[in-house]
Amino acid sequence: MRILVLNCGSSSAKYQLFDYEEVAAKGSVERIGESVSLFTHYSETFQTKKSPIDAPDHTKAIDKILEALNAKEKKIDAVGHRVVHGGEKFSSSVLIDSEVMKRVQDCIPLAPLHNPSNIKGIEACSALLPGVPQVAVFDTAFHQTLPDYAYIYGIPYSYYKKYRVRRYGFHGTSHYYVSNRAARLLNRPIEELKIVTCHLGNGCSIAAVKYGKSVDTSMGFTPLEGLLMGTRSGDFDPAVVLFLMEKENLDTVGANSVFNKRSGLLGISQTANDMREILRESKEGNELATLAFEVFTYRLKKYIASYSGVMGGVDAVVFTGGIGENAKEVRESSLSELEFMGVELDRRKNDELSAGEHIISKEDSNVAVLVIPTNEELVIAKETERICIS
Amino acid sequence: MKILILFYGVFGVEYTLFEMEGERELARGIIEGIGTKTAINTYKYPDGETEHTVKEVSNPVSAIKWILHTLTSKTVIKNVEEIDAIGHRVIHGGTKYSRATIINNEVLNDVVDFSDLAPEHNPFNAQGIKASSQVFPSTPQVAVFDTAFYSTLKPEVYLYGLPYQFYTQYGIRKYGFHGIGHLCAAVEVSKLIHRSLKRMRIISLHIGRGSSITAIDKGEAVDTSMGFSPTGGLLMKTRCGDIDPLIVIYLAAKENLSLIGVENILNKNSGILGLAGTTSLKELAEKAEKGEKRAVCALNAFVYRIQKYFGGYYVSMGGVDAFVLTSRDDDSVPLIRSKIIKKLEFLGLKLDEKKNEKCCDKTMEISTRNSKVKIFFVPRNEELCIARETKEVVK
Repeated sequence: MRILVLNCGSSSAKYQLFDYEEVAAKGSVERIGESVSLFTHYSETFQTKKSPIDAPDHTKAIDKILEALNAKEKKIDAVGHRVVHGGEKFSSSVLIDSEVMKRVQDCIPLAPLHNPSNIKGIEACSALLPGVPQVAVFDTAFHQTLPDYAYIYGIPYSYYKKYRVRRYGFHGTSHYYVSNRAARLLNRPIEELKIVTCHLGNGCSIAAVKYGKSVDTSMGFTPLEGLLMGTRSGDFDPAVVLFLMEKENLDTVGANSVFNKRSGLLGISQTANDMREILRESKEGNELATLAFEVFTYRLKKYIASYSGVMGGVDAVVFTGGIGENAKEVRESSLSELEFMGVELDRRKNDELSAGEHIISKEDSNVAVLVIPTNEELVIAKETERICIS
Repeated sequence: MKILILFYGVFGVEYTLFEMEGERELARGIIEGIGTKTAINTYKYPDGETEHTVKEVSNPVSAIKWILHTLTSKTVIKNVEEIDAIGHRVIHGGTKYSRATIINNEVLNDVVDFSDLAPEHNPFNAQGIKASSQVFPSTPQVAVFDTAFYSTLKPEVYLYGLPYQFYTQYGIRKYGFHGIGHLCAAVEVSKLIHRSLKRMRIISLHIGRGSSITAIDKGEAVDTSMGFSPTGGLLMKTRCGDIDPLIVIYLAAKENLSLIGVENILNKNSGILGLAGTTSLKELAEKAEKGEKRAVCALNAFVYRIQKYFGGYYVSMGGVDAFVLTSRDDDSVPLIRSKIIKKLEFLGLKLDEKKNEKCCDKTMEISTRNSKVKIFFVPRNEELCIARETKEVVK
């Protein structure tokens, strides 16, 4: 089966073509809608990096992608879309029809920056690939198993009823994938395991995965809540929002931008949003960079401990995402005082990590520590295949 | 030595008089409705009986005068000279005050200045201090700060992930509150079991109008759930506790509310009240027992937040020796304690259900003998701790 996986953003379309779970081609169109768009494509037969094309909208961009994939001759059997917000309407992946489209549109108020672009991608594919089945895989779906006491906020219940304000959680596909891979690597059924998964990339989130189901996660109503991130603040006292808006004379757009784009590692260090640079600066004696690192790891450690607590124990801690896979200092520091809980990191394995999936705890550690590169596209491809076959 | 403790707040003024020899409470009461024609003075006799008196109280000075009059007319004291010192509970001491201090002009000005950080409290605390200085011009006045206990928090604990200049410019950071109460409860436990605070790791849970949880390592606070304001952290009676900060902006837009409108909702109509329609923990427990859906959800959410914080603090200190719960009588609900501790069983906490049921008019242990982490209940009495600190300062 040839499955196209699409991730459409407001001005971009990223894709991977799967041929029986192998990536046959991948690439992206960036700057969609600008005067010149940029096309990047890798396959065995054809490669191009950031070549200028004309893509005034998502349909044109996807048309270009299909052309590069030679979709006319080698038929695409199905398309899997990453959709950011499925609200409470979708707790699993789904075959797209007009009814589904309507419900994805209903979720726009919850993700005004993301769902409209996802919808554009779906509509473009319907026009360009008539009759080809399309599947939506939601970022929020995996967290729909949260119990009510974990997703409800302490605000008037009417706001939950009226506006569906609650914890949704994001990065669901990634948390699902790495928790399942961890069970596989540990050679134990996931139904027996309590796993804490740390997705540390541009955005960072952590999830408590008990017996294969997400029972809590740090991102909330929006992807701002929870861990410290590159440019996002994560948790802070809600009264600060009002205090700052008044002091800095900010409107809601301005406040949003401060918390989402000028906070996090960047905000504290005032230098960099990238953990690699933070670590470099810190080694060179930049105190604010060190502080940013310490706030990041202290909060991560608290969440790991907290989620171990709510599951009544923990069997494995999994790191993924750019920081999780590459920053040994973050892994070491966030696990440093967890020894008494039975977490024993193998320093050498942690330090000398090669690419791929690894167990980096000591052999007799009660709690396994793993590094697993995430692969959301593969999950979307598999989900698409599963739904199209059934 | 007799010490009068005053807590002047938005609600009115609470007063408590102690004889420090033997730490006996001589009188207690509260005046509400200051600035109205029908202010109420509720006087509590040592046997628990209460007496209400109503009269016009136009300003803070007449409120404090009424307190003095009450104490002399009940013959608790003969005259003003009998009061050796006055201790004021002050909510916010910024980063400047890490301990109680004798009040002079500079201190009073600081209390006023910190109003920016605690607009609901400090302006009233300052009013109380000014009025008290007028009524008791020759009595030493001491400020005991709610935030002082948290001066030991480390930067990685108190800093938010916000642009650093907001910390340097506006002082935006975690301050923590209820410091007096948490320390007080820890001290009570240390006295009860004759073990120095220096040799204990304690998690202390304070339940009241507001609720908070604090990690205390070797007698020093290392982390706490309340932050810049008393709005964050645990689910409280009317305050929201932790939420996604962007909800604030979302609600303002959706409900067409001003910033103050949102703040009011988050502080006054949220928490347990917002979810289950009551501010009484006893009622919440009863409703939940009957299976009322929203009460069950609210109670579970209340317990769950505590569980989440407990796990985090457990690790922050590398383990815990004692879990201390402190509240007043009205907020002391055995079922809720039992629910909280069940969720912590795997960390080595075991509740003695019989002791818990009977608990408690005095500080006592309520864990089973084989509980790895000892559990204690301490009836709230911050006033006594404020009195102790006041005594230390005037000495």
